[in-house]
Amino acid sequence: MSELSAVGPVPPHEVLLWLAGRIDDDLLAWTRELIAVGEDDQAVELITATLIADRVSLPPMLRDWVVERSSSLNLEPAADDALPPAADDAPLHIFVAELADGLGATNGAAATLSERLRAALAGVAERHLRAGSWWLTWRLTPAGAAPGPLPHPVILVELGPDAGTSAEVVAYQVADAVQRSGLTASVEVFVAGAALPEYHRSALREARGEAPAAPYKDAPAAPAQEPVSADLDADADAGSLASGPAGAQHRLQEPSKAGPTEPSAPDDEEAGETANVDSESWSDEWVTGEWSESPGGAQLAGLSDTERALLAQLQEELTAREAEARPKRANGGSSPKRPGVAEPPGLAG
Amino acid sequence: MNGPVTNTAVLDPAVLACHDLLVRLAGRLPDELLWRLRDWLAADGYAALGHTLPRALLRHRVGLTDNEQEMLQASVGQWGGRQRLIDAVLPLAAPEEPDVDFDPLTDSSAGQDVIDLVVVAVARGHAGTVEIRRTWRLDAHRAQRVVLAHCTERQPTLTGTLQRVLRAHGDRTPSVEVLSPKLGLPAYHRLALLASMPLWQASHVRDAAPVAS
Repeated sequence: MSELSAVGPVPPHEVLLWLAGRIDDDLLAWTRELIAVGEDDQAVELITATLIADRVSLPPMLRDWVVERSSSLNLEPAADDALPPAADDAPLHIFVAELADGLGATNGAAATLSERLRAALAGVAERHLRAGSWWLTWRLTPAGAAPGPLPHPVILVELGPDAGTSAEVVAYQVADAVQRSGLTASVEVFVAGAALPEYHRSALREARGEAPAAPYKDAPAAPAQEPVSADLDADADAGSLASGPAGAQHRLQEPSKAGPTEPSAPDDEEAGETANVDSESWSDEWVTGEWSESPGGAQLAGLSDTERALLAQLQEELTAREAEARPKRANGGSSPKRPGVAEPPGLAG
Repeated sequence: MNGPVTNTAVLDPAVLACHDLLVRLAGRLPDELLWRLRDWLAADGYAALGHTLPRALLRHRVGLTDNEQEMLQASVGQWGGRQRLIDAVLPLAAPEEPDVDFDPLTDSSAGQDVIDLVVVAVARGHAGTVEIRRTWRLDAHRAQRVVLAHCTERQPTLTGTLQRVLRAHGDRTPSVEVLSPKLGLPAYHRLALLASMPLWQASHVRDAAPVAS
């Protein structure tokens, strides 16, 4: 029981980051919205029920969090009894930076859809994303027991340390803006420097447009690309996971300094090269665990030292266990009422 | 695969009661929640339903008729649902008239589309499927495809399968109404059937009578 209590303070948004790719994208977006508007209990209820019904195995620390939160809500059945046993396997997902015709789209439709998504993000970036960056990538693998269509667009948002809004609120607002544009995309928001699940690291690798030859903390700080704000330079020096050369990356300046900022156009040539990343070079980081980084300070500003230590423990253990599990898996990447209802036609019987 | 229409399938009474209740909740619970509840039933996720369904009814202030309350008790009551929550569900003296409008949209779509074809291809292979129809529910800002199927066996399974097919084709809130009895249909489904177009009928039914549309 002490272990369950220990992981209790982990923010729900952090847990949802680790659930990305394990449950369907619509549920993920829905629960993020619930958390953003303060309906944490309903979010936990939906997540727990889905994990139980779909028999989703979770890493021990993640499973413990679900059990602890469900128990605190007096949810029945007891999640500890109803959930499958813990397992370290993480779903393997494949991302690409750009869609080619024939990969879920034809006759230039992929490029058009990408541009529409970028345009939708440009429209909301100034308001919702302060001193942050965002990337667009495409997931080629299904998530959850009842997945939506593929390829699935995933928008990755990195908030700078000076972001004035919490990650879950940004995720909710950006997702809503995308939806209002008539588009569907997952929105993953994280703070610069935070340790991320493999799901996001894989997505960022493709969206960045370069092979992760070395841990991000050792990557050179943004050479030969568009101007970067001072805040983001600082992020790079601090070991921002998403810093460094970028293919499809869009950086934003502080609104107070520069006003509305147009996202830079993606470098299609560079992005196209990302599809040929040497998969063997990925395995090294998996095995050595060099991807594991301590959580970013800005994200933990509201937590006590004990909570920070516990969050770091959770993240490090999840990362390490995913890394250990990697070699075992295969490669791969209103209208008027109708009066008097008559006997309907059919159904035959 | 379709023989004469007989109710030979042995379905757990609790499962059938839950399926019938979830059918009757169409248009009363939000689409994004209802399809999940039905998906959990198809996946034998009874424990999840036992907890979530009563809370969903309470949270959305959905009342149940006496008959529907019996269905809830017969299913969720057997699956660990908290009795206090089951008893707290609002009573409903009589079924309410749904405020919905359906349209087959045959003029604009010129018949069946590729998703109709996929739905038929999957559903006709499910034992006990008798007929499949399709209509569109006209919501404020969009049209929601509604698939109506007459099936006599393993209705929750067919529901779940078709929902997942529709999800994979981009329908985020699939509306699949798998009906067994011809009589006693809720008003929501009677309206839907009136404004539906036929997609497929089992041969023994097609030979016996012309397709009504």
